[in-house]
Amino acid sequence: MNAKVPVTILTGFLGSGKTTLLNRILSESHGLRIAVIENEFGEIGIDQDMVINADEEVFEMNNGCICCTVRGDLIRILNNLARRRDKFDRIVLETTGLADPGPVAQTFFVDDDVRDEFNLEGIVTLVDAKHVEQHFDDSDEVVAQIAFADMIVLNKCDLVNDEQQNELKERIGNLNKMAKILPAEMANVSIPKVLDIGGFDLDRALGINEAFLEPEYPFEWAGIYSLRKGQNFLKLSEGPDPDMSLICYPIPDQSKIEIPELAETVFRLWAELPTKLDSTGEINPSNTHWNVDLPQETEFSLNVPKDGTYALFTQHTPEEFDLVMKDVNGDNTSPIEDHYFAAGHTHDDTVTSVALECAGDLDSEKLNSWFSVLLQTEGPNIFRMKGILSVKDSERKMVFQGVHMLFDSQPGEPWGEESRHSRLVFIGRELNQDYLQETLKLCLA
Amino acid sequence: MDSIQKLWNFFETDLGETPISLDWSACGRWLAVINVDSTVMIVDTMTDNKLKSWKAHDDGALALTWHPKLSLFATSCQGGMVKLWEVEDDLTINEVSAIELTPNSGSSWVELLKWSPDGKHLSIGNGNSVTLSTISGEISDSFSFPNGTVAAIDWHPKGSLLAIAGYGGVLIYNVLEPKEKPIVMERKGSLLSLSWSPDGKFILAGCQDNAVALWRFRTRKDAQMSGFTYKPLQLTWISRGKRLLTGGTKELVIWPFDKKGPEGRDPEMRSFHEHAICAISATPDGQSIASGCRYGRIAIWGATNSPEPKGWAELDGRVEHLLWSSVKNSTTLAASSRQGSLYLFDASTII
Repeated sequence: MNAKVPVTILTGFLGSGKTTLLNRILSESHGLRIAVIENEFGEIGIDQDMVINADEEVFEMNNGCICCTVRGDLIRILNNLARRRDKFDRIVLETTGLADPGPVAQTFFVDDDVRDEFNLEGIVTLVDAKHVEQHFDDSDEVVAQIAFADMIVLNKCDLVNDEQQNELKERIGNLNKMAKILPAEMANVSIPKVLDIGGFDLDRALGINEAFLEPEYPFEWAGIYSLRKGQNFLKLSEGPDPDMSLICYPIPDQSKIEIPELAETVFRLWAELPTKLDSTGEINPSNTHWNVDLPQETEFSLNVPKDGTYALFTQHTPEEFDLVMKDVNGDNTSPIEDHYFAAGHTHDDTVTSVALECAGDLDSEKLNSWFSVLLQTEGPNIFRMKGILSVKDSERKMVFQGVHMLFDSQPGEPWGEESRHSRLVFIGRELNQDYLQETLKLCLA
Repeated sequence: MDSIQKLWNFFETDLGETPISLDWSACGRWLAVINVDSTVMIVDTMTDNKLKSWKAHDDGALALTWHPKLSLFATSCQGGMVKLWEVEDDLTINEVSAIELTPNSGSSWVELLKWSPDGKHLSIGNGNSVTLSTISGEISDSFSFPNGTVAAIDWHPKGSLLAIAGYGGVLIYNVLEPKEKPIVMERKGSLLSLSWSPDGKFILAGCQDNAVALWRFRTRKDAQMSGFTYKPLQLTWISRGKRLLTGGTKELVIWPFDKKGPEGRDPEMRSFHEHAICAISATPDGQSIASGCRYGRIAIWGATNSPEPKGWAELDGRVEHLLWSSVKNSTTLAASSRQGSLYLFDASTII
């Protein structure tokens, strides 16, 4: 059997520059023989013009998979192209701006003939840097298109400043940490670079943000302060929310200060219902979970019982509420160490990326059961999943990817001398990282 | 496998492209093949396999079918065009007519061509409708399939009922009363192939979800045959409609349709192929069967008392088509591969 034909799905909201990029793919001499499946226009040629129009025929599968919709027109087109595969090296498949990429991606998992002949190499999503913000809250498609992506072309970057671009990257990264982000103007990205996504790059997903592998805490920031006994002050301005939760935790003497370890302790305290505190209230460093009202700029008394180090954990970042700590003399004081956490509640986006790691070999039967239960219960919420698994008695890495409830795996490179461990990334709505991580560990051989 | 005779192919040619469809003329003399690039090749078995080829369409080809009685065949393409071609004894080819279709909705691809059993109508599946044409290329009627693109069509053996399958089920129109509402046979999911049993009692459809849907036409009672590993698109009747052959598995599966039908009865399973069967053909007299798999192996079986094949052969790639010649006691099998090879096998020594 011949090698499978790589397919790149090109998606992006209306006006994101998708057509500009597609026209470049069609017109530039990049040395690649590409068949393009378009949605909005195009005619059919026999030899040279491998441009085919599709008609967005989405249908539900009758396979017990509640979220499984596929594109019937694509199945027909791809099966026809399978008979002409000597004419092209790869396929670019454009979706319409309003399309959910799910049915398109699922087509590559569901149909046997398509799966035998084609390999979903990657999903490239174009994002309009200037206008995407206004669509985040009113368009599920925009969020889905970003969540599905292996690569995001952040287009029209010339229309935003550096700060806006960085904020946008951060927000996109919160939705999908697996995807590489390529800034662009007029979709001027290298076409081979965009098309040759090259399968799995979990290291990027796992390494792009050191906070990514941390659990998603309900707090975004922690600062360690050295405070003297007496009345200190915590000044907070009006922020995007009318209130904010915080804990001021006294670090025991002689303790080595490790914020990630403290975070675990504070996380448990955070589970307690917060004690409300209005603008006249006083904060006592303790195990108490406070929720402070912030209708306006407020200065809270912080009654420090003795000289020492204190950890302040806040629901939002200090920048959002212009946080200032004042010592007993009324002078501003800075934290001796601070840390920003990856927070799941940022911008109320329910779509997040979850990365799991597990050292050692997994038992194949337990793993199958785990995936089976996971996909049955969480499948509709999972946009994409990818990973490399270390399965007992297998000399090779098991490489998998999936969409919603559909899952496909194949043997990859041999492990060789490399330490055997599994790494998985899920992108979806309301995924529980702790639960996934703990239950994955139960699959160890 | 040493004990099984290897088939002798007396003709082999490189088509240059993958064949999209092939069919024998009613008289069994001519074999017509159309490639993805719309090149038609006629093989004349009466004149030492003399060849004739030409480009039938400007767009990619999708279907070819011979008239059930005349030396006339139809071809279709992705550009909404159907052409009728007449073949003369000296292999002169005449374009009889060209039919241009504009679908009300859906794609312009003309993926399906099927003559009515009496040969009076050519049914043309195009987008969300089926159009009827006369043999002179005049459009007579059109029947819609609102659920989506028509995936399969088949005629009742007696000819006036036209079944159309696609997403969501089957619609059955009476072509003599085109204004009548169709009979609806619903099924969740997408139906891809369709076959009416020779006695007209059963309608079967190969489904996207690896199952065969079945309806009794009189009572509309439905059932399902499952257990396939691939889409079971091949639905071939033998024994005058008493048994059905299906693909979609490594085994050749023969379902009983005599007596009360297949429900609750075990099908006969015949093993030989190592990969799923993707092509099946039965001789016109129903006595011999050919099966072909996704990795290029073909096998010849007797319809009865043949637990293992009588002969076999290997193509150079996935079997695209298998079709016995249309003469009654046929021993000639046409086969094509995805790699673009066309073969004619002589099975006279084994069947």
